[in-house]
Amino acid sequence: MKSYVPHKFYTGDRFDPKKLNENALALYEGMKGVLAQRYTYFQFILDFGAYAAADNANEARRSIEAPFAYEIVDSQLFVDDTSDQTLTLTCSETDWNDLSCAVSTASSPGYSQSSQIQNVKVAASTQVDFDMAVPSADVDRAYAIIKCRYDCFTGLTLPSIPQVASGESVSATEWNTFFTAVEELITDTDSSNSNGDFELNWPKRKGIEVYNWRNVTAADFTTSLSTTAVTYRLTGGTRTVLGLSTGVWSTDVGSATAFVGGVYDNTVGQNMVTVGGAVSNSTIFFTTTTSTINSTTTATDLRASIYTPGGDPNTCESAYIVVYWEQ
Amino acid sequence: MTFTPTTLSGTVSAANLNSNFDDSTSALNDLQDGGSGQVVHNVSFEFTSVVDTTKNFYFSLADDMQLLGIGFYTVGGDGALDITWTLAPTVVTAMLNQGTSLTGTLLNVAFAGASPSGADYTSGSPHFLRKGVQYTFSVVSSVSSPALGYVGVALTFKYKPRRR
Repeated sequence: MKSYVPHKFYTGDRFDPKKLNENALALYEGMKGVLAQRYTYFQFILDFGAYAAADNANEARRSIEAPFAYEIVDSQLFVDDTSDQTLTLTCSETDWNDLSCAVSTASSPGYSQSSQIQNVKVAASTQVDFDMAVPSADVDRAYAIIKCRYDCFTGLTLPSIPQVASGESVSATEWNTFFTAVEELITDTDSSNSNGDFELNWPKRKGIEVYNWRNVTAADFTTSLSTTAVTYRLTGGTRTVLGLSTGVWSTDVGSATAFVGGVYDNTVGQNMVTVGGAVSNSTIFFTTTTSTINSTTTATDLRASIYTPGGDPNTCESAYIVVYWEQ
Repeated sequence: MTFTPTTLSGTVSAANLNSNFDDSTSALNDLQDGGSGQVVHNVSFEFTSVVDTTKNFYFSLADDMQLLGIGFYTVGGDGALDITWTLAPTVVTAMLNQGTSLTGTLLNVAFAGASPSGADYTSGSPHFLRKGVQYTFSVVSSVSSPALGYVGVALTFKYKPRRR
């Protein structure tokens, strides 16, 4: 990072407009330098597992509802080949370009893949549904990688910079306007960056992770988040969980059955956050929480799991947890 | 960090002008430093019924990232297994900087009933994976009995935002 030391002005010196202009330009470059680091890139995986022609399309719906705005910039679809066909991933966002993968049994090294550039801007707290079409013939496995970025400074615009020509007088009003605009960018005045300021410190970086399960058996469910076998281990880092979404599709419900997803801190033995609800036959269960979890953690053993709190475990064809984090 | 400008008026004071430029430039320099901070990010996937046949997972990343570690979560019967994994570019092309190739074995990962068991690989030295390169992650267990219900894998990356 190149630091700039502004030119100094001294009382009694002959005024040099070039110094004033260079200082203003350097300030502008400094603002652009902060903006240049505005994006945090991340990716999440929508894993549809083994997907059969006889399966229900609900098994391959994944819904995301992040408490912050983000952009989808790229996407990839991978399919393990079993027959010649074309699979397509659609999305509820209108700017989404459908992601289709022509599967060929003759492909090498044993799978087919396709990519599709995206330019999808998703607003905060917007439910986005990804749907993988039911295949015409069974596939061993299908999954999509959704590549995204989070903009720390959504909506920010830089002020225009005043310049002074030789012989001109310096307008105090014009320069006050400029410095006030710089102040607005640097100094937080409303505790959010919605109006385009840099906040008191760098805004937190945010991202999304998705953990998927397919064809979970009754034996894998327990009545406690701490003991369920349907678990991912989340390693490393000091992060805050901002919120959680979970979705379940199950035909084995009989009467309504509750499922709960959550993040469990195994280091201290407590739930960080859970979210859940009931599943009835032939409905997709999806719920989300966006409340900030005041549990910034350095735990090395965080677990993302689902369980059935009512002590009535059932099989489910598809389940997933979405973790929204900031750091 | 804050910046509060001094209001200029009438004949502009050199001191006030200096103050405004010094304070705002200093704040921006600090902001640029702060913006280069690093974040940790997981990419996860699941292998069902991993036994003694190698299972592959193919992926690419949204940007260059440094691999910090790999976390496994496994479910099986009573017993202990050895899990071998590899991470490498799917197609190795000479003369291109495609990032890292790694392999490792986790020994005696114990299971008790349907309880989850974990094992971690921690990267001992920096390994970078590159944007635009497709990687293959492969995993295989030593024996087929007891069969693993599934292996959940989380690759942990450290990401440093770049200037764009």
